[in-house]
Amino acid sequence: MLFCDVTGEVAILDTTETSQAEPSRQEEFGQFMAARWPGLVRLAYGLTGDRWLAEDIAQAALASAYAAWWRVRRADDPDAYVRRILINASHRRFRRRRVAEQAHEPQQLASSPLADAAVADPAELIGERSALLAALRELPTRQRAIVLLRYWDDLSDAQVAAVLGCAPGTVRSQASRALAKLRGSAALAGQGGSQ
Amino acid sequence: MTGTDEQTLSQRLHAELDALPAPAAPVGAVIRRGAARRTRRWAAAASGLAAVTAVAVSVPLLTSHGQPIARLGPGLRAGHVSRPTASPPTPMLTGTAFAAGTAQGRPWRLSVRNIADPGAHCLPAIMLNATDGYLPPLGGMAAGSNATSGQLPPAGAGVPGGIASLAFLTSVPGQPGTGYAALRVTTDVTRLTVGLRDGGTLTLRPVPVQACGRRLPLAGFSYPGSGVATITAYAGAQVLTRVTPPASLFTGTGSYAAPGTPGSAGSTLRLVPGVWRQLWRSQGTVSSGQVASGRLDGTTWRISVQLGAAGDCFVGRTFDGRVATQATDCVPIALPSATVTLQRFVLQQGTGLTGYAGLASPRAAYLVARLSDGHTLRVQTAQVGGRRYAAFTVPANRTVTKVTAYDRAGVALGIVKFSAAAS
Repeated sequence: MLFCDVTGEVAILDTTETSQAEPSRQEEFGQFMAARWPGLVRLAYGLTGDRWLAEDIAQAALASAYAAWWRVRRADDPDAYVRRILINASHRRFRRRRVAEQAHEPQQLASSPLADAAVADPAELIGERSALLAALRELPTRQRAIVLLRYWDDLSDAQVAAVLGCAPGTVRSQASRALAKLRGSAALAGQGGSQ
Repeated sequence: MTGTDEQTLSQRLHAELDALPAPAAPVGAVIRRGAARRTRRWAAAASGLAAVTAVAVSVPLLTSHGQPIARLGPGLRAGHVSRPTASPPTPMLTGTAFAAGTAQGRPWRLSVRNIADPGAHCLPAIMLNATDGYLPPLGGMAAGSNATSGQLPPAGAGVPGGIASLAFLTSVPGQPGTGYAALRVTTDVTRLTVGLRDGGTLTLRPVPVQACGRRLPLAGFSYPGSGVATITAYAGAQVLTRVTPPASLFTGTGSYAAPGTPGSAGSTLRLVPGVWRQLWRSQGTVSSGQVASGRLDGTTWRISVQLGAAGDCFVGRTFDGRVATQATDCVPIALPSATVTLQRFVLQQGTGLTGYAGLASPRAAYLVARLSDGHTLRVQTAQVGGRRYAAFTVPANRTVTKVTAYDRAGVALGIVKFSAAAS
C-alpha cells in the first residue's frame, strides 16, 4: 500500500525517449526536481547518515517518481508521494549491509581466509557522522522517518501520517517513543543531549 | 520530553541537515534513469501477460540433481493466514509453495527453492516471492522431542519440541507494516495457532514439501507490524509447545538470547528490517571460498564469499604492504542470476579502491567489464558452494559502465549497464 518500487544499484538501461509528450513532461519534472532536490537529499542523509548514499537514494526516488510522473502529479500531495518513495528506498537499502573498513593485523590477510569475517548487524553499522545522526540511526526506520518529518521537515502529524500511510495517532505514539529513546541516547548524552 | 526539548531537537536537526551542501540537481541523469525504469516496467507488464498463460499450465518444481522431486496436489490447504487484508481461504499451492496470501494489497508466497546452480548439490532455501531467502536448518529432529512451553527457550536450553526452526522477516521494503514468519515443524505437528499482538489469531496447518530429497513440514504466515504474541504447536489435541516471542522483538527495540547447541552460550539476536532472522537453529555459514584476487596499484586484494544466515556476504581484503583492510557487503539470498548481479563496495577507504562482486549466471564462464576510461577487464567467474560468483576491482577514479557475461563458448549471455549514480 505504501511504497513504490525502487531499484538498487543494479543495471540501468539507456533508452531513447520517443513520446511526443516527453519535452513538457521532462520540463515539468525538471522544475519539480530542482525545487525538491536539496530537501530530499537532506532527508535521505538524515535517514542514512551517509551523504553518498543519500544522493543515490534521492536520485533513485526521483527516478521512480519520473517513471510514474502522471500518477505523482495527480496525487493530492506530490511532495508526500515522493517523500514516501524516498523513505521506502532508504528502507530498502537496509538489505545491503555494509561493514565499514576495519583495520586488522596484516598477517590475517594471509593466514585467515574467511573465518574471522564476522558480519555485523546492519543496524549497528554506523560510519562517521554526528552524535545526533548516530542516535537517529539507533531508532527503527519508521521512528527515524517520523522524527525527521516532524522535527526537521516540520510536517504536522496528519501530514506525516499521509507520508507513512498510518494513522496520526500512530505518528504521535511513535514520535513519543522515539523522543524517549533519543533522550536516553548515550550518543547524545555525550554532547549534552538533544533533549 | 518537553516542548522545549522538542524545539531543541528540531534546532539541532536543522543545524545538522540544513548545513549539508546539496550539489546541483542531476535532472538529466534522473530523467534517463526514470525513463529506463518506465521502459522496463512496460516490458515486464508485457512479459507478465505471457507468464500468466505459462503459469496456468505449468507447475514449478524444485529439482535435485536434475530430477523433479516435489509436486503438491491442487487444493491442499495452505498453512497461512494473510493480514491485514483477507486472503482466499484455500489458495491453490503448487510446487514447493507452503503458504500464500495477500498483505497490504500485495500477494505474497513462501516456497522452498533450490538456489544452487544446475548440477550442483541441492541447496534448499525458503524464499518470500522467490526473491528473498534464507537457509533453513535441515538437521534431524525427532517428533515430539524436548517438548517445552512458555517463553522462548533460554540460551543453551535447546529448542522447543514440535517447532524445529522459526524465522521472521520484518518490514520488507514496500511493506513496512507487515512481517512474515516461516516455521519448520516436526512430523507429528498437525496444527499451529498463532496469537497476534493486535488480538487476532491464526490457525495454520503444516504443508509437507519435498525439497532436495527431504520432506519438510513447513508453515508460514504474514503478520501485522505489532508482531506475534504466541505460537502453539499441537499434535491432535495435545499441546506440544508454546513459544512467546517478546514484544520488544517486533518493535525494533529488543533482542533475546537465542539458544545455541547444548553447552554453548547462544547469542543475542535482533530482528533486522528486510532480512530473515532465524530465532534458533540457524544454519550458520553453509559455504565459503575465494572468488577472485589480484594486485592493483601496489595493493594486493582478495574477495571471498560466505553464504549463510546473513545472506551472500562478500568479504574484500586488501594489503598495501603496510596496512591491511577488510570490508564486507551482504545481500539477501537470491536465485541464480540470468547474467550477473553486481554489488559495489569500497575495499579501501584511503585509496578508494572499489570492488564489484555478485552472483553470476550458472552458465557464465567470464565477464568483460568496460570502465569509464574505455579500458576493459576480463573477469573469470568462480563456483563456490554450488553457486557461481564473479568479483573484480577498479581504481578509485574509474567506474564500471557495462558488463557483458559470456559462456564457455564465448557466447554473450547478456549485458548489464550501469548508470553513473549506480556505478
